Amino acid sequence: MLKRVHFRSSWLPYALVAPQILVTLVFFMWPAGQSIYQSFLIEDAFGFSTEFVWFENYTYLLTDSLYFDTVFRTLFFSFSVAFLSLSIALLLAGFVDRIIRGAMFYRTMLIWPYAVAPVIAGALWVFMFDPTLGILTAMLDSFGWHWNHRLNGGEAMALVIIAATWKQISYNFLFLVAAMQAIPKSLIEAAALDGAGPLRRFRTIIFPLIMPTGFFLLVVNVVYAFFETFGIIHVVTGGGPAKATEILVYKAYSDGFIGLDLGGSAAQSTILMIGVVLLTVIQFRYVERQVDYSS
Amino acid sequence: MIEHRPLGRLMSHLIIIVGLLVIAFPVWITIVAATHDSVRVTQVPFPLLPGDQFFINLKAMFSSREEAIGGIPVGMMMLNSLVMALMIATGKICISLLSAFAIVYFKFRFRMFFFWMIFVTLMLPVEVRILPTFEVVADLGMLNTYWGLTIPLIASATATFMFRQTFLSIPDELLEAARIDGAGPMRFFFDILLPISRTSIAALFVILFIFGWNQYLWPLLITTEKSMYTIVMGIKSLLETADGEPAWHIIMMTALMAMLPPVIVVLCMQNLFVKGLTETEK
Amino acid sequence: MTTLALNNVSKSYDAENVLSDVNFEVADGEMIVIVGPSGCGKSSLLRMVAGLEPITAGEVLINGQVVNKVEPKDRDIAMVFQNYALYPHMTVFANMAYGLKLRGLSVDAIKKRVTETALLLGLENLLERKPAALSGGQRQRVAMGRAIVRKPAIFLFDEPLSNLDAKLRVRMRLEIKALQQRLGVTSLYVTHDQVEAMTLADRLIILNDGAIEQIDTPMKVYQRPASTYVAGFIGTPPMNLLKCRVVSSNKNEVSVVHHEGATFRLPGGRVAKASSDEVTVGIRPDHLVISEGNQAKLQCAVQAIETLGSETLVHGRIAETPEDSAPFIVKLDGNTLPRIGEVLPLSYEMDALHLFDGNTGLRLASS
Repeated sequence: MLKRVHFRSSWLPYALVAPQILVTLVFFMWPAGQSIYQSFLIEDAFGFSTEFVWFENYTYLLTDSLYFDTVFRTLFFSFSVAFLSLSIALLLAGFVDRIIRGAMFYRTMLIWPYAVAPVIAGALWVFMFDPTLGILTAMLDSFGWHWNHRLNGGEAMALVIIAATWKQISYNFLFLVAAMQAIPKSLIEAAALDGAGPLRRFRTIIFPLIMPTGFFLLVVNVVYAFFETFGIIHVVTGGGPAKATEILVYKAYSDGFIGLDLGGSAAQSTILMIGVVLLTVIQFRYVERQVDYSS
Repeated sequence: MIEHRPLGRLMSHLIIIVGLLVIAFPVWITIVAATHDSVRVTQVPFPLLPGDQFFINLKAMFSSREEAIGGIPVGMMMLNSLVMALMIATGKICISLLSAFAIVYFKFRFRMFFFWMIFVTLMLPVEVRILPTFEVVADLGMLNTYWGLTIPLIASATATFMFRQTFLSIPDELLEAARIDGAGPMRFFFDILLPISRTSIAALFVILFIFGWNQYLWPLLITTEKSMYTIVMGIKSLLETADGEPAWHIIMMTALMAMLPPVIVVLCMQNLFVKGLTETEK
Repeated sequence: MTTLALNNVSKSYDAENVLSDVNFEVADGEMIVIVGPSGCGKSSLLRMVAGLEPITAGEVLINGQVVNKVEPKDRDIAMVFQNYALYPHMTVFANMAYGLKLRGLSVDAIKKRVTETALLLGLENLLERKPAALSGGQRQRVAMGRAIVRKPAIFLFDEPLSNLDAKLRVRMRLEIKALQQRLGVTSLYVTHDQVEAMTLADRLIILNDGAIEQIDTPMKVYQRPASTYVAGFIGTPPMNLLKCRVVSSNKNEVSVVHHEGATFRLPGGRVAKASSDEVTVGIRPDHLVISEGNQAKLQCAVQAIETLGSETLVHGRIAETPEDSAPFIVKLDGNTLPRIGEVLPLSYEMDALHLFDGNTGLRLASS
């Protein structure tokens, strides 16, 4: 980790890391610590009185069925987004891997959605599904389906899932294509000579070998769905209707900034923090330590 | 594909093209909406082809007196976004270069401690520390400033880790040769390390610029004055202003403007972008 | 019983011509080695036979049937790749069983065949390991096992030994030779190493820049190289090739001169087919001996020596050969250690001389 050849200086390294450490302390550590501290308090809305209540905020949350609803909702949302965007990306990557002509062009055309902010993606999709003038609403109408995500919770969830998935397909596609192209061509040729057709080659050779990347992407997708989709929820449904699309991060924001329940929001943030730590640990433990298949 | 099957090849291309069209569809609709007037845009059935109102809508959007979008200055927002994105990207890169250099090339007390501290920031996206960070920024009087928009976001660890990896892969002999030539640490840093890391820096710049431009939650929280809104977060305000139907044609034009810079960056610097993505995730 | 034939096969990548008009036949059970430098087209040739590359022109026939349009998996061919191409996520057993499973063999039949082959190659204790846990030599054997277990009609080898260290390479090529002879499968082997080629081949094909220079048994290629290219390629150290001019010629004797002071006399009647009076004379380093005084036909000024123990290689200059041309090499007994600057008197048998056309490089044989 340290280069064999290195400098020894008394003050220079400290000066070099100072900017980052400073910002980290002021804007990461201190607020994180504050968050944890505040989760042990109950403040009234005007900040006049604060009461130290140990784990009361936590027990309240953990026994609150509404909170658990939110947890399950978030998990459902995350895994749906992860599953859908990974499947579609896999399909596209599989086919792009097979062709030679135009692969570059297709890749370009498929990765640009990554550059679109989640909130913009949300705005686009909510426009297309607008209950009165959305183009997709009109199409559904012709099948007798009257779409209105402002009233129907299931449709609202579907809408945010679609918007979130749309954006992630690019990212997954990029990594999956890279993983597939890292497989030596001679492996595929050997399988072909052994008698395996394209579908069987994909099933028995390509798919197992891209599993490490797939697992890594799963973790990334879940983290994305937990946090970066805030913009989508905020702009598309505002958590509604009737909390049908309120995911954990949104609830933390809404309880804190709007409901002004600072203690409760801080507790939720802390729980989310623990969740991220867990996911990061899983990622580093299992994904980085995946058997290195390259011979 | 190994087999000589023209039909199979055709199928592959077709499926990919269908995928492409489905992915591009939302943006196509956006372009269509942005090029019609307010009347046509709200009519059912929604048009499938672009109209001719592109420049008219463009002009209207930039004019800050447009009532339909709540009088929010779009040009101003784009400027804010640009400044924010540039500041975040350069800030992150500068800080991370220095830290990575220190951690890899110096032996000093607390080295590992600092390393782990930086590592921990990976696990603290802004969404889990919203309230307290807001308080800190407010206490420092940085609300509604460019500094407030950017500094809380510039210390995360991904850039540091990537540079660390790059530096670790540079052969030791380079440093030894430089030392023999009489270079001190900072000379080494500027004359040798930086030029070698050029492509990594460029790749990371692309990623971070997009990251910075697309920030939503944080600008939302700390800007209360319309003049400091960024275009990505401003979308929400545009959608909320109207008493009646939102002015979709202007909003979609705004969305287009909000999307354009990052997408152009990705398209023009595709290779750097891909390199940046794949290397920061290791 | 499998024969392989290539008729007028050519290969181009867009505008670039990689192979032109290749013709040869492989008899049943024969091991043909295609040897040549990098970029000469030998891998493309192999891959066309396998069906992994499309054939630009000409035909590939297996047992008399044209297989140009037949898919690789239907050609009944097994290939050993240069980097082995073992499936990294499968055990050695699974790697070898893969092709058999696809062909619908029963679990018992598969087990029997794989264990048989494993015993043949000394892999019986490694069957449950994954490729990452094997050494280079072991992986190479698994790659061969995977090919053998399928009992194919044709074996294809694509430089399978080039990733092994020198000692292992020597051992493995003997094993491959023994195996191929024991199994009697028609084989095509590609390599750039001429020693490997000489050891393994029943017949050699020397490929240069997309065209066949010579097809013959190893001994014939060594003793009667068809061109200066083959002469310089086969044999270590390489044959000395000297530019000469014909001085006189009749049916008994041809006399050529290489600058001043070096005249070569060869058996006659060869130069009738020469394109001009410019010829190249070739003589192998091992065909030169130090001679007594006036018996000497050549004088060689020693410039450098390599003491190898078993032999001594002398690099020198004869006659007025310019300084910048390749050194003249003489192979002497290991106990003979000349000094630098010494002038060695050398002699040779007239039959040991080779004569090539000075312009085309082709062998000029006696009529």
